[in-house]
Amino acid sequence: MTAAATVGLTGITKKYHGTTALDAIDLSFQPGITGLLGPNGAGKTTLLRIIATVLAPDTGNVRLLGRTPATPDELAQVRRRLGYQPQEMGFPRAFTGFGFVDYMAVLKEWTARTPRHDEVRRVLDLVDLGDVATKRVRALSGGQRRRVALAQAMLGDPDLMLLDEPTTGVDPEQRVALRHVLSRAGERSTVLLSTHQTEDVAALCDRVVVLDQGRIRFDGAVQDLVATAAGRVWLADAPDPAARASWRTGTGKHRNVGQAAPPGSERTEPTLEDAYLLLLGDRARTTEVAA
Amino acid sequence: MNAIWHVDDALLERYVRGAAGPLDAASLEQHLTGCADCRARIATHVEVAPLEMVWSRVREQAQAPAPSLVERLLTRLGVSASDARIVAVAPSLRTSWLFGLAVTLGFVGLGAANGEARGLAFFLLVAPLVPVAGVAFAYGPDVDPSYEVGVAVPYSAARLLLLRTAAVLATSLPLVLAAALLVPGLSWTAVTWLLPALAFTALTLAASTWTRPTFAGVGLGIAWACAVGAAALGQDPYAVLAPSLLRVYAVVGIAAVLVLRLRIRRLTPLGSLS
Amino acid sequence: MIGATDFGMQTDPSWEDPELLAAVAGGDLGAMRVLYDRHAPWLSARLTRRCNSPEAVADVLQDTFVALWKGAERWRGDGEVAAWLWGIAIRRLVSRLRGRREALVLPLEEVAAARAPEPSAEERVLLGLEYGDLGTALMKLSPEMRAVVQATVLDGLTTREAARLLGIPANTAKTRLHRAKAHLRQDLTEGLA
Repeated sequence: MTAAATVGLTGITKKYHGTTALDAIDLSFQPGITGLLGPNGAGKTTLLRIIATVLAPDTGNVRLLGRTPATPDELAQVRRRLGYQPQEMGFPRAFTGFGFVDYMAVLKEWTARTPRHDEVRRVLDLVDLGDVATKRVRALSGGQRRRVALAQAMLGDPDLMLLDEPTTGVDPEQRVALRHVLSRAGERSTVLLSTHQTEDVAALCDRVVVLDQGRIRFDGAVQDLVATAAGRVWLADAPDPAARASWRTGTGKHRNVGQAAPPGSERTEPTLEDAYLLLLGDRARTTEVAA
Repeated sequence: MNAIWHVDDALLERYVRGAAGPLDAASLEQHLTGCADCRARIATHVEVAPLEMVWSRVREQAQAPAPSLVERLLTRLGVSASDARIVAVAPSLRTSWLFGLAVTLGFVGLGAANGEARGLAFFLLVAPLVPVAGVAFAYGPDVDPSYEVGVAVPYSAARLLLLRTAAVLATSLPLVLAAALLVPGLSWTAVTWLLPALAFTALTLAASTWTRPTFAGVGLGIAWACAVGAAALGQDPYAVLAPSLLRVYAVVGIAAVLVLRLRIRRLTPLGSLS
Repeated sequence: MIGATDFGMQTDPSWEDPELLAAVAGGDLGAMRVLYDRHAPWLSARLTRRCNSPEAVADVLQDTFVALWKGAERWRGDGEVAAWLWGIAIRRLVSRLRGRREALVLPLEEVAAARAPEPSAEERVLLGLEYGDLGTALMKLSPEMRAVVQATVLDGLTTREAARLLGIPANTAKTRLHRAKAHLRQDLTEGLA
């Protein structure tokens, strides 16, 4: 763990009702955008909750923004520079989008009204909700609510942003817009992005951590993970029974991903999704850490 | 309306400048009411900056959340605007809750007015539990759908809960007192119920450092219902307010406050969110 | 009232006023902005012709659109949105002038710098198109009577409100209106005869 690390986790373990959500995780994060990939139940949400100081680990050490938050004072200090978007978020009845983000801003100690309202407008404009923020949150679509949740996480330009599935349910056009916003945020802050969408990770992240069953399966550069699928992806007119996974693409051909492309087959450039599928299918290996 | 005739641009300019005659103006104004094209054209002659200024004021009024009754009361009492907002957002401090509470207490009070044991028992059941319900519905994952994200903020959870509890007491106790006045023979009992009320409130708060406020409230409610039920079966509902028991309530309340003091720093549950 | 934006549609600047109003009723600020851009300029100009204080005009304009924001649901859908807005605006102006001693109001007949007493050919055309015979008859009235007719008939105010706007006693306004109507009636019936 380097001195400049924004987040330092050592030996983090968390168990729920006998299942191990996280198993002795060691991780550290620096400014930039890191993607957290993994299937459901992998422990991504638990990990984000622990870093967001919403959950305490059973064992292990958490160091955030240069502090070990043990006392309420230190917790408050850390939380001042933190933005968190949970995976599922409900909204109190009768709040408008603006009203909710404004309320979160009050909780984040923006006491003066005018600067606070300006900041609320700023984050709502960032997620392109300026016009509809005056509607009741209950009247907004799922994707718009997701964006409200993201907007409040961006209040005050936090040094540490923890986003759990920020683009789920957001329509493709908006997702592209959000990528620009997140990309700019990653220039100054440490952003941890937990997602199912490998395209988001490929577009935004330099580094990716793959979690499965509470353990790290990969921690390294995105391009290194993609490289592990080199020579293992091929196209065919029909699904190949030798492939680990196979699906029909938009061109009508079938994309096959497996141990090795058969000789003479039409190989193609691997994507992050291919590498991810191969990695998780490869349960024989435990961890793969890039050099 | 005329589809083909529109106001001459020069006249529009004169009108905005203030140099158009009264008949011109009257005619123009009547025309504008029905013609979107000319309205658009007159906009090019009107100064933009003052209109933008007014727009930002309109926008602010449209966006800013309107303070609730409780919020306005708190600000008038000197509470800071932020604290007032954080307190008034609690479900048990909403106008609708307070209104429903007043109506319920009205019925309970009237039910006890005839002095019959059952009505009395019901009043004694309800009165101390009103602030407990208020606290149970002021905070926590059961009543706040955005609870999780509200944990990760610098605002002190202890301050939030204590301020909301104070507001709950300040709003609900007078309402119960008013209902108590309807219950006969009550110059003394009109206030003795306060002791269990405050003791139970302290207990709920103390229990909130272990478990959810709603669980604590429900547990207390059941226990108290059993006690009142037992007293009513023994034909003496007032037994729950016997002097010996009053002392017990006082002791329990003080103990709860001490426990709360010790554990208040744990209010932000750094344990399981369940 | 359910607006199209409740179904997830983006406010389109090409929408008509009633559609925008429905969106505003649903809480769409973008629709409100479009309505503002369409109506604030002419409202501002028309208010300025009746009140020479820019602060008062700004306040009335603000109040009008805030009233629009809060009351968009109440619009029945009859008539023009523009007319509805003017009704709100002029009433706000009048209630603002209540109790004020300063002459905020610009008497209408003082506006024109060098007006020929004879209506110009252009004026005749304008009046003919908008008001027909009534316009011609209006021309024959004195400026004071015209002002009262304008305030009551055209702006839709009561005689009391008109009196407040013009800075004259209520009874004077009533008398002038009465006389004006008598003149107009006479002119128009003579015209038909």
